[in-house]
Amino acid sequence: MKNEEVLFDIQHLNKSFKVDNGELKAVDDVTFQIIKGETFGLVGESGCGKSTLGRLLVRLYKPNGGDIFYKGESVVDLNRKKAKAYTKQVQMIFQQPYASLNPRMTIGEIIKEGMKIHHLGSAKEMDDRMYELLDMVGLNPEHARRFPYEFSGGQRQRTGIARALAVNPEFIVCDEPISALDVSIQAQIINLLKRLQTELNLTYLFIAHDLSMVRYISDRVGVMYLGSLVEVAEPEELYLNPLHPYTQALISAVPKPDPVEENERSQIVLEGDVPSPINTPKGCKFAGRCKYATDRCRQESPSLRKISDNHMIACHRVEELNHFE
Amino acid sequence: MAEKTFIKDFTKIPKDVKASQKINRVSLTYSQGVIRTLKQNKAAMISLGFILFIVLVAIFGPIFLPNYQKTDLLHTLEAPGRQHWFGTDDLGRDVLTRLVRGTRTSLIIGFVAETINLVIGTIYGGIAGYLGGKADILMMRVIDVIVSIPQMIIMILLLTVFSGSVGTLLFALCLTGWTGLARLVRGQVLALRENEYAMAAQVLGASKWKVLRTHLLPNTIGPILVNYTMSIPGAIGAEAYLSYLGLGISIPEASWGNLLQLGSNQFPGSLWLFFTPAIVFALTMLAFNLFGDGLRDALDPQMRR
Repeated sequence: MKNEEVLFDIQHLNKSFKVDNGELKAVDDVTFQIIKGETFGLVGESGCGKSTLGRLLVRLYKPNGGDIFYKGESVVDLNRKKAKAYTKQVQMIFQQPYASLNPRMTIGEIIKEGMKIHHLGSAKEMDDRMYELLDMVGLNPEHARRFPYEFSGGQRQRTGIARALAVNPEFIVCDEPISALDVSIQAQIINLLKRLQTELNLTYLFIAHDLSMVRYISDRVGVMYLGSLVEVAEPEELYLNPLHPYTQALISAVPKPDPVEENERSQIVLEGDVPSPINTPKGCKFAGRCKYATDRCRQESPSLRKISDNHMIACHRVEELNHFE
Repeated sequence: MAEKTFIKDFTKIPKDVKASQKINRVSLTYSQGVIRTLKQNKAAMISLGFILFIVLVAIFGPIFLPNYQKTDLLHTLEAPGRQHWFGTDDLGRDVLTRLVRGTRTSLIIGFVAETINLVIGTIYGGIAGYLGGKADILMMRVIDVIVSIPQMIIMILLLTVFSGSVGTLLFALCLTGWTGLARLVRGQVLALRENEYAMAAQVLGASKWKVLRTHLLPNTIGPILVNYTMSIPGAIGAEAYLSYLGLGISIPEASWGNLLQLGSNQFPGSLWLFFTPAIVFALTMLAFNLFGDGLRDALDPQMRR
């Protein structure tokens, strides 16, 4: 990044949910920054807290601890007026194109919803803008009067994108926007998101579990494991030189398109399952499955630190381990 | 690079993306779709016709047949004939006139009681489901307490203390009647609240009240309407058994309940006294159920063909 203006500054963010047998730590002491204009990719297995993190940023959930600064201002506690103004700048695209559109509203009404809430112009102006948005996401004007059930998954997802864009946001949380779509449509949506980003100067938090998709779209990638951010780097750096043992295992699982390389690919198979996020023990979250884990790892939780210009990692032993290899 | 493998005989036809997205089906607004689907459902349309007929009878019937209390001791327990289409009762009152008057009383009780229950139940259940957490638990415990006291005991108690008028009956029916609907709405809202479109509206800056009103309640309308149409005969039935016990609407006033009571007193001697109100009652019950069913299908856009 040349002109590094920090849009989001997330500091020691915590979010836990009370469950029957204890406390589920969905997001545990996460600290990172999102820079204006970039796409920050967030990857991790299901249940690692990526969606919770996204929802914290759009204020669907209230954090238990830590702080979120948007353009330098804390957005954790906002009064009603400021909270509404915030929703005009920060939007979200949802995972399920089938569930994220109200079946009783037409596509046009869905897209205009945000404009109506924020009173963005007269009825005529809102209509014009709605048609402009339909065109922008590649839908026909006549689709405005249709209901969501008449559309395919990709078309619905584009409606969701148009709805988010309607209020002219600066930042969009894309919560696995492509995981429910089939592969040919995934590429369409990704390219649409990329095009919109350059046209409208948007910043994305792109949540996904498809590593190659994240590599393609992201400027920086964060890897999450059990509620903690374990590694942050630029995609090429992360994919070619993963440093955290978990990231190494994760990257090694990505199939290679070249059959010769694919044959040579050796996958690191982790032992055991992802432990339950309920009442996690202290120390490094990954220690139980890490072959390099020491007593220190089991006692002391590592924090995310910079080891080179564009590479951050949360591991006590990263220097010594990379000496050996 | 893919072009190289193309055989020269093939020419690439540019794809018209916009045209490929055209939907051929006629575009309907939401209400147009509802009416269209409803019209295709014969049972629902016949039921609707019957309900409208009954309602019209209740409104205008007593104007044409006003003398429902007039006795005629010379013509008691007359079988249906030219003079009295549905016969007369033990005091020579015209059964048709009393049935028409009773229809008004019973429908007023059914519609008014259930409409009050609908409003209370929807608001209460909607708030409980949407707020969730402690408020929800507290509000649901209140309902549990109300439900744990048998409804019939409350009604009998109330009607023993106060006189059996339409007002008292309505009060007795509404005191506990809204709980079922409140539970239903709460369950619906709870399920829908986690829906992504409700979240999307919240992210767009919609207030909780607006999310509830524009996204959650309209999507619970199907089950609410089915419940509403099915509980109207329920309220009418409650009136019937209370009147039967002598607690509800008492003679010389007329309601389906006390007509049935009178009919069963004369059973099996004068069958028309029992069967005329019984048939009207049963048909009304069936009509409300069939219509509610058809309406539910019509209100759900995904059920449309």
